[in-house]
Order: sequence, then structure tokens, then C-alpha cells
Amino acid sequence: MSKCMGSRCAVWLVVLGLAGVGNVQAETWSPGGATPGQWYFGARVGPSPLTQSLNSNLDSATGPTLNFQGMYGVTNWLAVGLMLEWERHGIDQERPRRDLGSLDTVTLLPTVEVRPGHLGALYPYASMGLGVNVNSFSEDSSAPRVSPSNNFAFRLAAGGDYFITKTIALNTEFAWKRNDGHAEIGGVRTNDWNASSFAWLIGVRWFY
Amino acid sequence: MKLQRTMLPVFAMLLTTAVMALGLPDPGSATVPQQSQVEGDVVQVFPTVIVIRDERGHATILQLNPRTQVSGSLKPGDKVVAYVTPYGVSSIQMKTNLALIP
Repeated sequence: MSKCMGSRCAVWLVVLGLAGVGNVQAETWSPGGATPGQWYFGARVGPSPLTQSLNSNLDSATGPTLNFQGMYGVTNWLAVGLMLEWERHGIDQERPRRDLGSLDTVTLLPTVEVRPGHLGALYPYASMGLGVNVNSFSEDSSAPRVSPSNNFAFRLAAGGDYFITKTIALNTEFAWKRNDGHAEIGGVRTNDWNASSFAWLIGVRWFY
Repeated sequence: MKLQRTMLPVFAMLLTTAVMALGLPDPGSATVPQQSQVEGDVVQVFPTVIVIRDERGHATILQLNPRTQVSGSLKPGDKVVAYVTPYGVSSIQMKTNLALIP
């Protein structure tokens, strides 16, 4: 163990890493990234910032996202399924500064995923989903109430699966989701309420 | 070496983009005024919170603290001006009272 400490070990790690990259580059592109009739399920987690301020006087924090999905291979390049996603953001008023609470969004999205092919064990894909955002707000104090609307959800994503066994793949995905609606803050309705977000997800997918 | 020189501007641009994306404060933000005011109509009144609607129709929540000076008893519909410092809302004045000041 002590032999693998210091600069020599670091050099070996770099060499092994480069060899791994070389292996992926040496693989040739094979069309068809899905198997017809095959089910797969994913569980991912990651950070999620809003794409802009929630409105002109409200600021948001980067929050966690949890994402679960079940997909079914229709052809050798197309899969369809359902996605359930939850995200949370801390919200505060900019002027005067005041913590308001946290915004929770649960999104249900029927999703299509295009899997054009693979490069060895690496399977890139792009997906699109249309569904509904169910928004709720947890206030830090009893007053005033903040009531965001539920609205139409549209999600675009790109990512990749890297198979570590025949049935398990490590997954990463970058996504954008539309969550643009209105809200009532202390009895004042505002149409300037945009909680659209980015998400960078890392997780696992199981293929059956 | 030449490659390193050509990569320097690209690296600087990427770093600037990353800093902007992270929302880190830029040196120019030091000129933000220390005290400001918010005008609007009172919508809701709670024991320690007043909600006003500003000229753009947005809600602003004013958190009262023991040092906040409030002119009279406010009710929904009153037009007010709130003076805001980095420490909170220093005072809330009715606009009619301000008009009477010579």
C-alpha cells in the first residue's frame, strides 16, 4: 500500500486514465442504442439552479433534484416512458432582504428518448418530455402566504449511459425544464414568476 | 508554448463566464446605495409584516422589527413609502403625511 503513494502512483493513475480514454476512442460507432421490448429504470440526483431570477425582486438558491424514470424500448433507437422529478429551491426577497421559504416542484413527464447508437460501453442519448409542474411553497414564517401556480412542463435533456455490467449503467444527464407560471404573494398576483431550471444529474440505470 | 499562448484568452474567457454564471460579486457592485425606498399600496397587514404592491404590480414584503417606525395605523389601500437599509426596514410613512411636510 505504501508503495502506491507519492508521484509514482499519480503517474500510474494518469497513464491508466489515458489508456481508458484511448479505449473509448478506439471503439467504433455502432448504430442502435436501445433494445426493442427492453425495460429500464433510472434513479438520479444532482444540483439544480434556476435559469434566471424567480422574478425581479426574488432570488433563488441552487437546490437538489431527485429524478426517477421508467422507460421501454420501442425500436432500436427510441424509448418511451414516464419521469418523476422533484426539486427544491430556497427563495428570498432581494429588497428589503428577507427569507421567504422554499419552493418545491414535483414534475410528471411522459418522455421520449432517442438513443442513436453507442461507442463501446458508452450510450449517448437525447430526451424530451411534456407534462405538468406541481409547485408548492413552504413559508419560513406564518405570514404572508406564497401560492405558486401549477403549470405546463417541457423538458429537454442530453446524457449518456456507461455500462459497467450487462444490466447496470452509470448515467449522467444535463437538462433544462420550463416552469413558467404565476404566483400570489401576500394577496398580490404576479405573472412574473419563472422557476425554469437547469439540472445536472448523476445516477444509475438498470436494464431488464 | 505557442499553443499555451493561444489557449490563454480562451481560458480567461471560460473563467469569466464561470464567474458570471456563479453570480460572484463584481467590483462595480460596491456602488449599490446603502439606503433605498420602496413605494406602494398596502395590501395586507400582519402583526410583524406588511405587504405592499409597488408601481409595477409586484408584491414587496416589509418585515417590521422593534426599531421600525410606522406612521399611524396602516390599513389596506394606504399609499406608503418604506425606507430600507441593509439592516431592515427603518420606517414606513404614509404618503399623505409626507405631502403635508413643508
